[in-house]
Amino acid sequence: MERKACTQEYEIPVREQCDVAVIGAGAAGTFAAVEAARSGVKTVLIEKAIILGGCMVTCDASIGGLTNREGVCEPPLLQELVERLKKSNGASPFYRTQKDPAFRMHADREQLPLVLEDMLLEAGVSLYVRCIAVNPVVQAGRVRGVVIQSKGGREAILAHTVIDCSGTGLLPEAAGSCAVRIPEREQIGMTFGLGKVNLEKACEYAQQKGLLLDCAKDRGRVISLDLEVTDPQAPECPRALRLTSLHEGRAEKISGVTVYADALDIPAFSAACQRLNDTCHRMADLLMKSIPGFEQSYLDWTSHAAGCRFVRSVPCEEIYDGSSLKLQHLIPRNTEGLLIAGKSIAANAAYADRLCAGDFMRQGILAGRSAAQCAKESCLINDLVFLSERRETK
Amino acid sequence: MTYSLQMENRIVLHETIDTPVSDTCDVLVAGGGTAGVLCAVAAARQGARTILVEGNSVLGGDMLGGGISWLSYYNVFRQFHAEPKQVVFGLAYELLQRLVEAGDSPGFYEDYAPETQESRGTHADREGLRHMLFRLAHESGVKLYLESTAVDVLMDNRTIQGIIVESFAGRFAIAAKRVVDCTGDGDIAMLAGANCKEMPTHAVGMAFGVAPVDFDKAYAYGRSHNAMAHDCTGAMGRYRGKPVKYTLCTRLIPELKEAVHNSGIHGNFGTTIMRDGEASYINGVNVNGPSNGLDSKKTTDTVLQLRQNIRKSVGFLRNNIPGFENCRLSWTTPVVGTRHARYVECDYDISAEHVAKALIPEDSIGLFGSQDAHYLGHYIEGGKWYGIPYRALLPKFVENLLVAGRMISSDWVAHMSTRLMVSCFVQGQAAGTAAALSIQNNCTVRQLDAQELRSVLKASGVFLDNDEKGVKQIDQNH
Repeated sequence: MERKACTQEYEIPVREQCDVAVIGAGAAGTFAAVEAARSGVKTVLIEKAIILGGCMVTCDASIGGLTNREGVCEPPLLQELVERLKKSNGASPFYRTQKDPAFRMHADREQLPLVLEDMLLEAGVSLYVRCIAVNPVVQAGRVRGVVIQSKGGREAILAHTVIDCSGTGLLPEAAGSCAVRIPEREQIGMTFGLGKVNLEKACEYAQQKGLLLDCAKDRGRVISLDLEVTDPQAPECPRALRLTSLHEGRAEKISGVTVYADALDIPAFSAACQRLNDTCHRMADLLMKSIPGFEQSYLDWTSHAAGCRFVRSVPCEEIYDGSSLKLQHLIPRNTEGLLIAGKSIAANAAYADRLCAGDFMRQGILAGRSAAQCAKESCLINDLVFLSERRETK
Repeated sequence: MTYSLQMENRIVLHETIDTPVSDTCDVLVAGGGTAGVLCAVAAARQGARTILVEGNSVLGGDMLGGGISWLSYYNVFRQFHAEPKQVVFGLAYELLQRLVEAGDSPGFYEDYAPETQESRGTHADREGLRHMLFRLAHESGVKLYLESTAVDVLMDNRTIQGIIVESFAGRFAIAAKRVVDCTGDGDIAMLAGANCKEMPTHAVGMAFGVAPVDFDKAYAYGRSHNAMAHDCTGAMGRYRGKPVKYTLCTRLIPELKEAVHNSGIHGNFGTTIMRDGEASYINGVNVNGPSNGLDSKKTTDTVLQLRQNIRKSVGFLRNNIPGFENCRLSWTTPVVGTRHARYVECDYDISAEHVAKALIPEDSIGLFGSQDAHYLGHYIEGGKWYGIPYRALLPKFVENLLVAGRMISSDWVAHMSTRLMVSCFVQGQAAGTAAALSIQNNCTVRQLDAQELRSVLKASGVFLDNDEKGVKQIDQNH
């Protein structure tokens, strides 16, 4: 076993040729694919899980950034998402908590993926689930597709433009962009849900004991509750749990169980997953034993995956600071034929702390629309930027 | 890495990749599902440095997806008027006992559904199970590689020396002295050059849960139509005396015929009940007819169809079954419940006759008495049990590779027994133990003395004494 490296050669069949290939069906990827397909180009979306939604399902207790300050969803595609969720009884109203002036909402953990499936299939996106994107197809310095791996083996999807919304930055790095690490932000989290809760009672108790961090009510019912709990195994750092509730008596999503670990060290990441799963169970026990309102509770769900806040950050043509999004924010340096959207765009630290799904969706929409335009006009991403800049100066 | 586009009849890319070898171990187990977790635990408990590679971020594999109803630790005794005998012990039983202790299993219950299982059954809570598998792996010192998909093998002629993994961290190789393929579909064995055959992937299932449910009403409805099956009551802990399983034969209720047909729900859908007012784990949707679990696009189509069927089935329950009026979808499984996709040819192929005649070869590494094809008239004679020979875990043409799980029988009827979860537990423990033992003995897994393996397995609690006395003693001990 002294081998340090090994070399393999593969012949890879091309599975499909398309205009836009999107990697990852989270907040950014789903909307990139829907927008591209609705613009009239052939679109493929590749997702590793069988449940769509990415971190919106696995990590976040609530969804922020869908609206502007007046509470209006923009662009209209986000409004459409909310309408569809409401139709399936899977969305809270938009609300502001006592301490956060920004509007947020939360979606049913099961209805959200179903609604995303509907939007993608209706738009005519060709979907691949249980597939991982392992390598970009690069030719003459330009990304021309992506190699995917599944039970079916190694296959290629060729595309005019590839949009990486996986959040991992793996493809841009392999395509020649210098991805960087932000170690202090490598937080890994897992969510869980509780049945038989009385959040009003819990809220009242927390207020009395000074454990209440924030809360939001809808018609007298507590629908979001931020609580401070002290884990006996780590008393020095109390945890802030956020519990959101959609249906009476349930806290469907609870976030705040997180650890810091090197996400690119797979054994460390895996040990973190094991620890997070254990912590979800321990937190559930702790709530049941120590906080009135949870006496009858039971753990009814843990997320099917752990989510990483950051894996790799990819420097783009311009650095996004959270305001007025431009295409240049989504173009990884030193690449052609590739766009990225979502958490891996190298945002500045101030923005990084306000990461929210609404922003990722808007990035996805811009990437999807631009990629579709490139395919239609048979031009490259950088041509598009050049054209738009010329229009601006005119 | 280089690519070239080639135009022939079709476009083919050529790719050359250098892969770093980033870790080494004694025993590498590919696949953290039913067979894989216990396999890794068994190997680690024998002192082997063990790595478990799993594509998801959670352990459990198809146990989280295809049916959490565990058939069965017992023989199928009832229609033969035989004595009930528990024949599966070892790690499989340790897992169950620990789940019972944690309040995540109702223990054994009498499960007498006409035409199907007539034995003692048990099941586990989906969350409790996931937690317990993590704990077992952690306690025994198994090193986990999650979100890691095994994509290729390292070979020295016919001897496997490790595997190659793709993950979001990149591509790397793990060198191993022994490899156990617990991928369910022989993914590793195929790459290593074993003789494999694709099997038609029938009846792919996807589990889901709904809440709230008023089970008093649901039971009253089922009984008034004489349409209940698997009407089971828990035996242990907080489940004692409570209903733990609800199966409604909707095909026996004529007025539901059209709605059942339109929704795509099972002719008899069943659920476990792990919490008051919750249908915790519904085995209710299948895609019938052959599909192909080994094709990326067809797998996607199957998944999307199953999820559509789940949605329609929830609508069916709400609109048609008293007690379910207010229920909502509360859980869907993160994995697809596949029964069969690929068969790996091993030194011994367990046949239908082997199962039916309850053969116990001398190299048996576990005994098993359950069969899931009763409704088609396939039984194990006299309510007995058969032995799973060590040879059935050794793929032909490859050295130092073992397989454990649903890929070991080519015959469909035998497969309906060997693929059952408890059988996969048994195979997994044996394969992990064998892999570790062969390293200690400095021999290949094929050269390993099966009798020595059996005595180590016995010492670890596996039941292998096939005489009446042995069974009775064990019965009394537990």
